Amino acid sequence: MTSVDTTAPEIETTVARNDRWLRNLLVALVLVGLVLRLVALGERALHHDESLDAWFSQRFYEGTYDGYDPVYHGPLRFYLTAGLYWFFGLSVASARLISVFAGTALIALPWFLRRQLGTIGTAMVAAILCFSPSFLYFSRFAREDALFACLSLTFVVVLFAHLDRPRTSTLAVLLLTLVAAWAVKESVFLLVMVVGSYLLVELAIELFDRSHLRIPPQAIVLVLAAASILAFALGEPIMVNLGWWGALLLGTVAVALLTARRAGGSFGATEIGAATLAPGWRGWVGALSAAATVFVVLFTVWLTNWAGSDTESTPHNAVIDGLVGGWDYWRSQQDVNRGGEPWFYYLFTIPAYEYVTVFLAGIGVVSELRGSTRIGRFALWSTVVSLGAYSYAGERMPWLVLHPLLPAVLLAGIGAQYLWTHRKSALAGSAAMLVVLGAVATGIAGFRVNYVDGEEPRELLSQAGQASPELAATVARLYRLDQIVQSEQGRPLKVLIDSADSAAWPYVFYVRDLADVLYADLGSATVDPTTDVVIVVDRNASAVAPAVAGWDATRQLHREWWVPSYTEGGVSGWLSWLTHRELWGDDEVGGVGETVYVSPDVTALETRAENRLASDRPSG
Amino acid sequence: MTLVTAAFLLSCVVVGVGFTGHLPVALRLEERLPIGAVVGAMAVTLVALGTIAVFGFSGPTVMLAVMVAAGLSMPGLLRVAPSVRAEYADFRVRLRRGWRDPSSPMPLLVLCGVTWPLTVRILSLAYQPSPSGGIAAGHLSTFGDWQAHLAYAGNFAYRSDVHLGTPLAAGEDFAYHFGVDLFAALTVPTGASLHAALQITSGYLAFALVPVLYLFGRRLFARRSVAVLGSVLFLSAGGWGFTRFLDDVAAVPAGSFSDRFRQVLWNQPRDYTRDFDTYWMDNPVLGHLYPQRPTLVGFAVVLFTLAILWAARESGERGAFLWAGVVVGFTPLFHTFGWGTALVMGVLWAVTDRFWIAEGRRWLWFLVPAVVLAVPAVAWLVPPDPDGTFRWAWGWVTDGTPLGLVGFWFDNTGLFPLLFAVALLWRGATSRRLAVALAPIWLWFVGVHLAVPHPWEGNNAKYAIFWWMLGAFAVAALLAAVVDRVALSGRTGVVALGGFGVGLVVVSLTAAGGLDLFKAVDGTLPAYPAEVASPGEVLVGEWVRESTADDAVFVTASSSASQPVATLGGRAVVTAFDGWVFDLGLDWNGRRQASIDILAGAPTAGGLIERYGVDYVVIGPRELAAGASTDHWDRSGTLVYDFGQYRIYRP
Repeated sequence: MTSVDTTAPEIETTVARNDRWLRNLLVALVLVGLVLRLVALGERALHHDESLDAWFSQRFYEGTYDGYDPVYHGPLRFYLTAGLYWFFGLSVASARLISVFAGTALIALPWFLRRQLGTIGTAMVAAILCFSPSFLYFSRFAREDALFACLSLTFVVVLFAHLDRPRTSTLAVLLLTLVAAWAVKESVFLLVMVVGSYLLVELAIELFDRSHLRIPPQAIVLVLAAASILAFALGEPIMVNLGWWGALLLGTVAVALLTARRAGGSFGATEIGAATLAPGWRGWVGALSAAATVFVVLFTVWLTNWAGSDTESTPHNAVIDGLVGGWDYWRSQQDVNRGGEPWFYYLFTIPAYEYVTVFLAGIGVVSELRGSTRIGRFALWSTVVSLGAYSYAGERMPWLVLHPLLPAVLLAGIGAQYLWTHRKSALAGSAAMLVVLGAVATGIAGFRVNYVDGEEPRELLSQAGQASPELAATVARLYRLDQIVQSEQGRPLKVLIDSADSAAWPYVFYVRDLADVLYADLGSATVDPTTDVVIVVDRNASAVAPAVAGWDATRQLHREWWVPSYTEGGVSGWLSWLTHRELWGDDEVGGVGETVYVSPDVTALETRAENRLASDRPSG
Repeated sequence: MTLVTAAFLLSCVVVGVGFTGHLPVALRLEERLPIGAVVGAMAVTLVALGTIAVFGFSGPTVMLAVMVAAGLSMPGLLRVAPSVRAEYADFRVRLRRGWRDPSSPMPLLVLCGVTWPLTVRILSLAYQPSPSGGIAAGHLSTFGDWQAHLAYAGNFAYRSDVHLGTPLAAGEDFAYHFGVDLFAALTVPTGASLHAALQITSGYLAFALVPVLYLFGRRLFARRSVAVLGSVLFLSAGGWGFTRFLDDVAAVPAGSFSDRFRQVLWNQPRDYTRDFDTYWMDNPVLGHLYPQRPTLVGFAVVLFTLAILWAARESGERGAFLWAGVVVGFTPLFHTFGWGTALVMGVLWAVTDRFWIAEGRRWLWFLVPAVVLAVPAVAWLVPPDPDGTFRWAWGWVTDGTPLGLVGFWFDNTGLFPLLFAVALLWRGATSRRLAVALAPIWLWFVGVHLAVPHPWEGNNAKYAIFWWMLGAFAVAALLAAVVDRVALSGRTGVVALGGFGVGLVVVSLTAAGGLDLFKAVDGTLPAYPAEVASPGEVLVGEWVRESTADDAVFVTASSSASQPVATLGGRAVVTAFDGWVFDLGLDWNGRRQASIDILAGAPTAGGLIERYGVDYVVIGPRELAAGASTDHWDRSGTLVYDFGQYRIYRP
C-alpha cells in the first residue's frame, strides 16, 4: 500500500509533464502544418479532378447542384467548399482550403491516441502527418482525400475511445463520423471492411484467449492474413472473393465463440462485445436515428432534392442512391482499372516518398511481433488489409496513397515508441541515425514535390490529369484578352474550347467569369467565324486547321503524365529517379497537347494594348 | 492574402503588445491582444511614414519600418513577456471554468465567433469581377467611400516618395486622416493588391474592434452580459426603419405572411437605416465602420482609452494616464474625431476629478501628451478654410421643433435616446459615478443640433455616432437590470412579460440595422454589385501607374466616384469626384469648372493647365459627356494613350 501511495503521484506528474510537452509540440506542429499547407496554395495549376470538385462546389454555392452522383463522389465536400467560397470568394486557393483544414486537423488527432501510442509514438505520428510529402501534397489538393483521411482517423480515435469507455455518445459520434465519411467518398466501404475485419479478428483473439485453445494473437492474425490472400488469389469476381473472405472471418469468430463458450465465455464478456452491448437498445436506436437523419439531410441536398440527381449511376431517389449508388458504381468500376497502374503500384509509390514512415513502420512490425498491443494489431492489420484492398481494387491513383499510408503512419509511431523504449540497445543509435537521414531526404522530396515541381509529371504524386503551368498562364491571358476586347469593342471575348480528351477541364472552373465560352468536340464541331480564341487538342488540330489558318498559334501541353515501367528501372533507374527525377529505358512523359489560336483581330488588339503601355515616364 | 501579408499583420500585433508592456494596468489576454493590434498598426504606420520619407516607398522600407517599430517596442515586449505567459495560462484556466463563471471569456468568444466570420463575408464581397471584365463594388461603402480610400492608399503604394498632397485635388494638402490608408498601402509590397489591401486591413482592425467593444463594456459596467449586449446593440443598431420592411412585406400581392416575409427578406428592395431623407444615422457597421475606415482605429482608441482612464482613476497610476495620453496624441492622423472624443471625454473626466487640486493633477499626464503630440497633425489636418464651412444651424437636418427633433431621433434610433437617459438616471442600471462619467457624451448629441462643422450636414452623424456607441452599453445595462429585477420577482407571469418586453425592445433597437446587415452579408443588395471600374478604366489605371511620373497631374471628369486615374493609378487629378472634394472643404466647383474648361479646350485652358500643373488630359466616356473635345486635343496635344474608349494627351 505504501509504495502505491508514493509512486502514484509521481507517475501522474510524469504523465502530466509528458502530456504538456506533447501538447505544446502538437500545437507547434499544427501551426507549422497550417503554414506549410497555405504557402502558395493557389499557385499550382488545377488538376483535372480538382477542377471538377471546385466546379461542383461552385454549383452548390450558386444553387444549381443536382445532388449526389457517385461518379464525382459524395456531396459533403461540395457543401464545405461552398461554405468556404461564401467566406473567401471563388478561387483556386479557396477550392483547396477544405483539404488544408482537414490535413491540418489530421495532425492534431494523434493526441487522442497518446495513451495507446505513447508520447514519442504520438509525436512521431503527428510529425509524419505534418511533413509527409504525400499528406502535404494532398492537403493542398482540391480533392476529398485529405478530408477522408481526417474522417478515417477521427473514426479510429472515436472507436478506441468507445472500446475504452463505451457510451451512447461515443457510439453516436462514431456513426456520425461514418456517415460524414460516406458522404465524402465511397472509400468508406473499404474503411468499414478494414476496421470491421479488424474487430472480428480482435474478437476472435479475445474469444480464443478465453477458450482452452490459447492461440497466440500473432498466429491468428498471420493465419487469417494468409487465408485472406489465398481467398483473393482465387481470381474470382471481386464479390465472390469478398464473400469468401467474409465467410472466413465470420467462421473463425464462430469457432472462437464456440470454444470460448465451452470454457464459460460469451460474446458479452469480451471487450468488443461489452462495447457493442453497453449503449443498450435505446442507445443504438438513438445513435442510429441521429446518423440516419444526418445521412438523409446530406444526400437530399439539405432536404431540398428527394428525387436524386437522376443520372445513369443514380437511378433511384436521393436516399436510395446514397445508400447503394456508391457501392454499385464502385463495383462497376472494378474492371476499368482507371489509370492503368499495376497491382504493386503502392509498393513503389509509398517508398518513393515516405522513407521515414516505411522504415519506422518496419520497426513497428518488429515491435508488434515481439509484444502485441491492440493499437499495434490494429495498425498492422489495417496497413496490410488497406494495402491489399487498394492494390486489389480496380483504380490505383496517387491520391489513394493516403488510405494505406494512414495506418502505416500509426505503425511508424509504434516503431518510434519502440525505438525510444529500447534506446539503450546497440541498434537503436543506428536506427535513429537512419530516421534522421530519412527525415532529411523526406523533407527534400516533400519540398520539391510541393513547392517546386508540383506540376512535374516525373513526380509520382502529380500524375494523371495535372494541368501544365502553361495552361494556367493561358487562362490569365484569356482574362487579359477579354479585358482588352471588352474595352475596345464593348463585347466579351468569344472562346471555343475543345472538349475532346476531357480537355474542357480544368478550363470550366478557370474561365467561370468569362461571359462567352463554348465547349465542343472540335473533331466534329465547326468553328464559328466570329470566335476570338480557339483551344484545340492535338488530335483535332487538323479538323480546325482551315478555320484558324493565319491565326496566332501557341502550342502548349494541356496535361502531362508518366506511367513508369516500375520493374524495368532496376536499382540504378530508381536511384537516378530519386536523385534527379530522371526516367529510365524507354520510359517517357506522355501528355495531351493543345494549341491556343487567337484570331488576327484580337491579336492585333492585344499588340496594340501592349504597345499602348509604352512608358511616358520621363527618363532619368 | 499572402503569408507575407499575414506575417506583417502578426508583426503589428507583436509590436503593439510590446507597447502595452508600458501600461501599468493589469490586462487580460483578450484585452492585451486587441489593444496591441490597434496600437501596433498605428506604431508601424507612423514609423513607416518616416522610413518612406527617407528611403522611399518599397518592400524593404516597409520591412525596415516593422523592424524599427519592433525595436521601439522591444523594452516593453521584454517587460510584458512573463505577463503574457501568465495571462495565457489564466485565459486557459478561465476558459475551463464554464461560461457561467464571471471570469469566463466564453461570451467574448461567442461574440467573436459570430462577428468575425460575418466580417470576412462582408469584406469578401467588397470587390468582385464585373460581368464586363472590370471591377464591381459589392456595397455602397466600396462603391463610394472606398474609392476615395483607394486613391489615398494608392497615393502611397504607387509612388516612390511620401506625397502629403491629396490625390483628389492636385496641389492641396492631404487634409485627411490618412493613417489607416497608409497602413493599407504598407501591405501592398507584401503581396496584396490595392483593393485587397483595403479589405485585409479593414478585416484586421474590425477583428480587433469587437473585443475592444467587449472590454469597454466589461471594464466600465463589470458585467459580461452588458459587454455582449452593448456590443450587439451598437453593431446592429438602427431606428424605426424596420417598419418600412413590414410595409414592403405587406405590399407583396400574394402569399402567406411567412412566404411574403421570406420573399422580402431575401430580396430587400431598399435600405432601412439610410435614405438621407428620414434616416441619416445609418447602421454603425454599414454607415461608419465599413465605408469610413478611419473609424476602425478611432472607435477602438476611444473605447480602450476610456477603459484605461477608468482603471487609472481607481489606481491613480500616472503611467496609465501617460500611456493613454500618448496613444490619443498619435490618433489624429488616424481618426481626428476619435482623437477629439477621447480628449474631450478625458478633459471632462478631469474636470469631474477637479484636476486643479493636487490629487487631480495626475490628469495632466494624460492631457498634455494628448494635446501636444496631436498639435502638428491637427494643424496639418485643419481644412484650408474652416470658417467657410463651419456654420451654426439649430436642429441639424430637422425642422428644429421639439416634435421634429423627437420624431427624427425616434426614426433614426428608436427608443434609444429615452433608454439611454433612463439608464443614466436610474441607479439600478448605472452607478452614480458611471452615470456622471458617461453623461458628457450627451454633449455630442446636443452639439450636432447646434452647428454643422463640415460642408455636408450629413457628416454630423460622425459626431453623434460616439453618443450612440457609448450609450449602447448604458442601454444594455438598463435592460440587464430590468431582466435582473424581473427574474428576482420569481413570478412566472412577470418573468414572461418582462422577458418579452425586453426582447421586444432589443428587437426594435436592432431590427432595422439587422436587416441592412443581412443584405450586406447575403450579398443581395438592391443596386449591388455595381461596376466601379470598366475594363477600359482598369487598363487606363494600369498605364497611369506604370507609365507616368509619380508627381504627374491629370485632368478627368468629376461626375463619378469611378476614377481610374486617382483610384487605380495612384496619381493626382485636378479634381476627383465632386462629392469628395466638396466634403474636404475645397473649392470643388472652381476645380470642376476648370476641369471642364481644360477638357473642352476653352480659351482659358492654357492658363488653367499652368495653374494646376496639368501633365495629362484624359478623355473617356465621362469626359465626353462633360463636354471634352477630342478635336481640340488632337490638334493641340500629344496623344500618348489610345485604347478602347480612352485617349490620354499631353498638353
